[in-house]
Formats: sequence, C-alpha cells, structure tokens
Amino acid sequence: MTTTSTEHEYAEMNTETAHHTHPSEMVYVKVAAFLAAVTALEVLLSYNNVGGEHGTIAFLLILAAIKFGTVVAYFMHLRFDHPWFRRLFITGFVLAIGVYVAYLSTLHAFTGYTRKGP
Amino acid sequence: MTVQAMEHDVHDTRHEGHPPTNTGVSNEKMAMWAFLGSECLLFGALISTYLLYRGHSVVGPYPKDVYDIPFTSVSSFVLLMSSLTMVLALSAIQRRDERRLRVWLLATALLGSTFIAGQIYEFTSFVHHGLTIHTNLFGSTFFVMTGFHGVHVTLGIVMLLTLWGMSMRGQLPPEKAETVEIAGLYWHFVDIVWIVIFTVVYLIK
Repeated sequence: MTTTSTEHEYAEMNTETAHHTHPSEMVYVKVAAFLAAVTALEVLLSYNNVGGEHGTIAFLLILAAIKFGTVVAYFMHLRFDHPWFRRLFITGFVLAIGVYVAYLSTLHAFTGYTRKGP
Repeated sequence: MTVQAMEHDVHDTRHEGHPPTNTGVSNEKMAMWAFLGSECLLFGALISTYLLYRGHSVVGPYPKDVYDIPFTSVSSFVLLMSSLTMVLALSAIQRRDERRLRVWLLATALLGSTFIAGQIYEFTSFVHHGLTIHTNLFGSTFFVMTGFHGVHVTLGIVMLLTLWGMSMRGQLPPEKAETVEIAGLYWHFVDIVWIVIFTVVYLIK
C-alpha cells in the first residue's frame, strides 16, 4: 500500500469515526438555544439585583460557568473525545485559575484593601 | 530498545481515523488542545489585571459612563451563534456535504466579522467619550484585554476564510475533516473567552 492510499484510508476513517461519536445537528441547535437563553437570563439578572450585590455576582458567575462548560463539552466535543484532550485543557485551565486567584489574593484584590478610586 | 519493541509501543489507531501515534490520539489535535490550555494562562493574565485595577482609576471616564450593555449583549449573542455555525460546518464535512460546509464556514466568518465590527464601533464610541488606552487604568486594561481578544477573533476569521478558499479550490475534501475540527476548536475557544469577559467585565458591576 502506498503512503498516499494509507493516508487516504486513515482520513476516510476519521470522517466516519467522528460522524459516529459527535452529536447530531439537532443537539447542536438545542445547545445553542440553551446558551442564548442563559445569556438573556444573565443580562436580565445584571439589571435586577436578585439576592443583593453578592447574590447577583454569584448567579452571574454560575451562569457563565454553565455556558463555558456547555460550549467546551458539546461544541468542542470534550465530552465525547479522548480523555487526553480533557486532561490537557483542564491542566491549563486549573493552572490559570490557581495562579491568578493567588496573584489577586496576594495583591488584596478581593478584600478591596488597596482600592482608592470610585 | 529494539525496533520491534518500538513498533509495539506505537498504538494501532487505525480505528480512530488517524495515522499511528505514540499517544494513540491525533498529534495535530493534541497540539491544538495544549495551545488552548496555554491560552487560558494568557487570557487569565489579562482578565485578572483588569480585575486588579478595577476601581483604581483616579480620572474618568469610568466603566459606568461608557458601557452599553444592550449593544454588547447583542455582540455576545452574535459570537455565541457563530459557534453554532462552526459546528454545523464540521458536521457538514463529516457528512461529506461540501456545499453546506462552505455555507457554514462563510456564515461563521460573517458572524465573526459582525462581532469585530461591533468591537470597532464600541472602541470608537469610547474614544469619543474621552477614553483611550492612555486615559486611566480602566482604559489601559480594558483596551489591552478586549484588543487581544479581538486580534484572536480576527485570526480565526482569516483561518475560516482560508478553509473556505481551500474548499472552493477542491483542496478540502471530506477526508480532511480534522482540519476543520481543529480550526473549530480555536474558534470555540475565542467564544468561551468572551463568555468570561462578558460576565466578569461588563455584567458584574
């Protein structure tokens, strides 16, 4: 078998395998509708202080996390793909969260210790 | 290690649709995921610097003077919907429907361009309000963060138009579906970064 035909064979399998493991177009449309609804809810919440200032912030962060997770799981196929990809992305993501939470805590960003402006 | 042992080490991944690799997964896709993991650190730095200096500007304009939440909400919605057209493009090439692949790639590039046009309008409006990158800490951190994101979206549009052009010339057959998937991963990543920016920067007061 020549190199070209082998590559062609792998590529053929690539489209077939992906077709079987990825969700259907209807699932994608439903996911997009869900994301649009969550975005509308976020905007609504930002105008109405539900649960006070801290309550609104908590709600908004939870909704953003839900949207983030939904796009990664369905549109980026992390839910269906090989665990290696999940590990790589989660490593970078958790590292970023850890590093910057430590960075902001060290500079008192959460306590408002250094706040001066309006 | 003998050649036979090395060959045994290389996983037979023919059933997974790509040539054999040591890890058993596609090298190109793995590289893209590693790149996206590292991009989390880049955008993490930009977002946390914005948060660190929030409320520290001693001269205006301040965020409440310039933000137009309804306008940015529409922009966010447009970018979110471009993720849908991107997965539909991938689905089309996996179904060997090259005509629909081109339609969805072009739709994604158009939605991305609409988002960028909105960002240019927003930046121009901020400048008219007297906010530039030099005005105060808010201006510096805001323009750097959203500017970097805008550059990423623009690069994504270039990628999509390149794929569209390749498909028009018959250089993107269904066998190369993974190329579209990898470009899609990048596109969805700029979308999830905007999900975070939209909430943390615009909606949380």
